[in-house]
Amino acid sequence: MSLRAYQAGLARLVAEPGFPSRLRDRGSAALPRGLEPRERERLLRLASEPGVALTATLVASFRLGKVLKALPLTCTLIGKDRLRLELRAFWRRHPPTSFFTFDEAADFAGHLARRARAVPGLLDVLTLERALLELRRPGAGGRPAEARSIRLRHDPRSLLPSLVAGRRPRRLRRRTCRVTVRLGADGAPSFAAQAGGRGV
Amino acid sequence: MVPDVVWLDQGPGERPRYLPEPEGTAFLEQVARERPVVPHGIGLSIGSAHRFDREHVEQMARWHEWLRFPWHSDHLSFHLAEPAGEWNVNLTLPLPLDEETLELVSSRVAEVRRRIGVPFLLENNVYYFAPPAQDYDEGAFFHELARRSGCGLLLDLHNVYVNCRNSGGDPRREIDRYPLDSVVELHVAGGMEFGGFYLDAHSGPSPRAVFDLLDWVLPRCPRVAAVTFELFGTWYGVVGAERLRRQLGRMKEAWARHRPAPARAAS
Repeated sequence: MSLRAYQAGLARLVAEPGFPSRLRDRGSAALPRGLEPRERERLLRLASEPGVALTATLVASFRLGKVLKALPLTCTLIGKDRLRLELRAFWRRHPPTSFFTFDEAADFAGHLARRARAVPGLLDVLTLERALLELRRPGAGGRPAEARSIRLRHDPRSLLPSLVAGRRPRRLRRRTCRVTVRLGADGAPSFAAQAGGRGV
Repeated sequence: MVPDVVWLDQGPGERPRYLPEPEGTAFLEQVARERPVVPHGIGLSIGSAHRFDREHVEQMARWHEWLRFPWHSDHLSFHLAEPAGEWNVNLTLPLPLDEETLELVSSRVAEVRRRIGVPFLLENNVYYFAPPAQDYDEGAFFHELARRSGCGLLLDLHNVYVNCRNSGGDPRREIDRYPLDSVVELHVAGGMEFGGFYLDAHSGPSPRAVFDLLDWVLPRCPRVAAVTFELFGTWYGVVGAERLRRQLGRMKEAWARHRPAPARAAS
């Protein structure tokens, strides 16, 4: 039981923002019950270890890397400052639970979707990148799905080209439309407006 | 078994839990026709006190049925813990090298060995911190683990180098503490400076000092059967094929100089 509690404490030290400083400030009172004196002493000392702070940075950078890899357009749209704030809020509520890019990115996209109204076009970009995530996720047969149909509230031609080029769009045109999202054999996505719309 | 490359783990209890990644498995299938494929896992979390992931062991058993690998390995560490629900911290954290951990890991290694009838190795960990006042140093821990469970050692030379470079230790003295007669596989890698530490980042060519360690340790490991160079795929474009080839060439030269016994890991 003691080892279990010690590992839980160490996980919190490297993956729970603010826990090391709480432990330094409050001492043993910030620790759960079930620890032997040696484990308690270890965790209290580790809270001040530069190597633990470094490990926490590595954990955060792994989590950030997954979001940047899977949601590049979303990250470009919200910008670095907002991304930092949103990640901080997300990480406070969502501890890391998986190695996998899909899980982390899907959870962060869900977090952003609840706050999407504050950023014009964000809901559309999230819808698009969530569809891409689903397309890249292997199905039960081991093969990803081939295509997905999504509904956007802005003209994708006013939204996507600048994001793909790494810039935020200047002006969005409101226009509800359906878009089919596909992945090519090389994994590159393509988008096509439906019902007679032009390819994007 | 690199996550996101060969399978997607949907989590404990899910059916199916592991979804194969078609490109990765097709690549392995192709390689396995020409040479042995030896898996090096990161997902077992063998030291987690709250549970042992037997579904992961079963997945490795299925892969052994498929690939017939001569041995397999994971890390002496944990990344799954249970502060409030289960967390996966995404990094291999150091275990406290105490008697309690030794009993836990020994019984699990023995279980893995019973289930998958080829040698099972654990890799020495990289540390940016270590729990104070431990019962064992890592070398002594591996000696006792090998004695109790038959666990083999995957000796990562870069991990030893990183630990010593950050703590001021002597890599040869550290390596001498390990049960070198249990070493089946050696790892070589490169790293980078960050935040006042030298990191095991698998981000480039290996330092010369690590190749010196390879030359020094090869004749001391009577059962060694392979040397692996580790590089994260995201760094391949930076390192380039030519530099990678030179790294592999240096490893082959070291192997040829010492000509270790053929790859027959003891069971």
